[in-house]
Amino acid sequence: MKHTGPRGRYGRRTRRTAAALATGIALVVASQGGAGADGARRQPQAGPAAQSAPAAPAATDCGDPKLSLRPPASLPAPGSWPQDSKMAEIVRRGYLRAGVDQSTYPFGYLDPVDATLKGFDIDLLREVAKAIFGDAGPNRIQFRVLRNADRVPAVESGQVDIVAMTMTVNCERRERVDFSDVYFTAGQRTLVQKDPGLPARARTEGLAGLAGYRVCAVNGSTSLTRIKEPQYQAIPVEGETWADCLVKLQKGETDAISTDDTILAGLQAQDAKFTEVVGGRISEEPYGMAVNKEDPEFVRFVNAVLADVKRSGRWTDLYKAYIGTSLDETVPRPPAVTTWRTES
Amino acid sequence: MVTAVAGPDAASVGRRAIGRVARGARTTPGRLALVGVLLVVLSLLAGLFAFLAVRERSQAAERVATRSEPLGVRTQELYRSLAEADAAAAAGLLSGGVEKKELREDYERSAETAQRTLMSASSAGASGPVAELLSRLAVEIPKYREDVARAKSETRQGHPVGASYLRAASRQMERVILPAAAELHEIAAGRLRDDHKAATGVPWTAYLSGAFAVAALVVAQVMLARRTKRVFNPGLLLASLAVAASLAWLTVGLSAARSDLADSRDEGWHPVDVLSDARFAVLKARAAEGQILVQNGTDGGVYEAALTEQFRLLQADGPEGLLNAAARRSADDTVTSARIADARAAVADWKVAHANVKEQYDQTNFKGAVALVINDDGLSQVAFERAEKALSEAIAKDQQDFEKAADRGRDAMEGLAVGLLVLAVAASAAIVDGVRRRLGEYR
Repeated sequence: MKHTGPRGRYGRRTRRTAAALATGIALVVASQGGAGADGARRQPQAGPAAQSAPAAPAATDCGDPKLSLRPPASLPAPGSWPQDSKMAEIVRRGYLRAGVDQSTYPFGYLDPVDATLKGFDIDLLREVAKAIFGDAGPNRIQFRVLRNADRVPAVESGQVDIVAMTMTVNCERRERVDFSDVYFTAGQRTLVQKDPGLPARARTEGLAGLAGYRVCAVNGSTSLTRIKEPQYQAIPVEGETWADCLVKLQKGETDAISTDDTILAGLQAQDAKFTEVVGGRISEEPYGMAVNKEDPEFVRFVNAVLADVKRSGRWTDLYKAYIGTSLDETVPRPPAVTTWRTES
Repeated sequence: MVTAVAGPDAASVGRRAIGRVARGARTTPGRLALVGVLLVVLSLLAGLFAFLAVRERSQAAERVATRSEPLGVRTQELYRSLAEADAAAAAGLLSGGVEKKELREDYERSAETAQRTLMSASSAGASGPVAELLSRLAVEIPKYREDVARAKSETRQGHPVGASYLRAASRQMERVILPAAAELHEIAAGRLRDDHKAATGVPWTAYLSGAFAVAALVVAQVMLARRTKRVFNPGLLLASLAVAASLAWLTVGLSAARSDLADSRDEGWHPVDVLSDARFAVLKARAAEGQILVQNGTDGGVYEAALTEQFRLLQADGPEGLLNAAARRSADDTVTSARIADARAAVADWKVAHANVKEQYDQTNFKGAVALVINDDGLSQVAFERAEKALSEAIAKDQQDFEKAADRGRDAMEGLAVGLLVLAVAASAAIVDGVRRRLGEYR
């Protein structure tokens, strides 16, 4: 990659210096508060443990972790399940306990206008509660805010019945909890400003077209590891959180942000007119809901709800409401599941 | 001015004495005159040293009362208003896009106070590290306000990134602005300590020269008594008394001033310092509690840890416990002690209230959690205001104690310098008179 114009050459050098400075600052930040690492843990694809992403299946091979349990042919009517099932237990209790995040826009976030929880994940959980109780009453669900690191333990210990918070299905987690169907597939892409100074290749190729430019990701995330791969020749800039990367982009301290498109969609929506998500996916992150391994019938039930949501067009409505055109002009089809796990 | 006259006088007296010595040192009257001149010189020198010692101390006391302490108050005020602005900014953002009026005004007022204080400190004329710190603050504070303004406008549009701008602002506050303000205060505190030390030092030169003059007068009188068979020389006796009296006056006056100035330190700026530290911790805890909710989990527990740390610092029993240290300093001051006890109780209530906030938050009752922190009757809000009010009243009271004691200290030295000079002149006149009467007997 060669910079031809004077702007390119000059731009590259100043960018390097600025990036070195920014990295230095980010490192200081991380070492002082440990904030960077924590910020990274907020994102499912970011925790170092979960994040050997491509390597993980090799380390703990569970076959295809995305395979879940086959749902009944149609959504069971409320009360049509055995008394010792998880659904019956939830009905007796009076509400579903769900683990959520309230800071991952637009999947689970607190709406600053009316201080209520909203998001793609939140609404899917409301669908699950509605299917259990037959009504959508606001008291039918009790949300628990979890840290990303606490998602698996909270499901394991039974503190919550279900977790839906941009959680990537992988073998390491699959060993401790069961997962529903994949309800969303995310992948790493790149967010840039509509800046004529960026190379034309950036618009089409994303990260691959940004050699020599500064690209931000949360300290310690897999996204950052990918940015540092030699094939991209990007200058990594570390942010404390993804929103911190957006702050850096707006302040001119970075040229791009690269991570899961779901997160980018949330950032793009906050600067909708002058930023865009570019390039194809360079990774695949399938999201599933986590359920206790002891409750296979609940997994089947949730899968039936998800199948219904996908079939009925509700999934597409949610996509339009929360993600809209942040990522693409068209609404994609929901992840199709055709094969199921045989054992329980 | 007085020294300017006294200096050359003493010198010319000395020169003339040398002339007389050359003419008649071998005769008895000559020797007598020589002794007289020496005695005059010694007592004038004693008076001069006493005068200078008192003047140096009263000038230092004046600086303590009118310059270094007020400068310390100003740098403390700067730090306080900055910490307060940071706390108010977080609380303001918590109230959402439409900011609660009181919270916005709190922020604006604190930020303006900070900038105004900075301006007045800058215009006082500074150099070296102080000027460097002041200009750093003058550059950084507007940057901080810019980020806070951006945080507000993003929040106003419903963008969660507003919280990140606030975090960037508060990061800059914690890492750049407050440390610079603290450094500035440290310099001011150092000056205060130096001035205080200069105002309360023991005037050894004055004591030594005074004692020497008294001793010389006594020896001269003993010699005269032996040679002239007159037991008393009234002039020299009077001079001895005058020099001794000036020594006593010097001792009494300076030790009264010293004790008043020690009060100004022990009941004034020392308690004000520890109370201010406690007040800063309260403000930082307030900022952290606001940030916990504003950052809404994305900070990875940084602000929760910061809040826990400030609570710990405030409540600890050991010497590092800020309220504990303040209580011990003010143990014999019932008014201040009561306020510190109140602040302590408020912090304990606050800790309970915060557990409540956390519970509401974990149950995703975000509105309820925010209400506890910013509503007028919110438990956290009430406890914070009570702690802040108790400490600010205690500080105001101790500040008054300082001013009273410092004024007393200056008053104690009032007239002392001039009085000592008058006594020295009187002693010299008495010596001249006493010696001249003896010399007359030789004509």
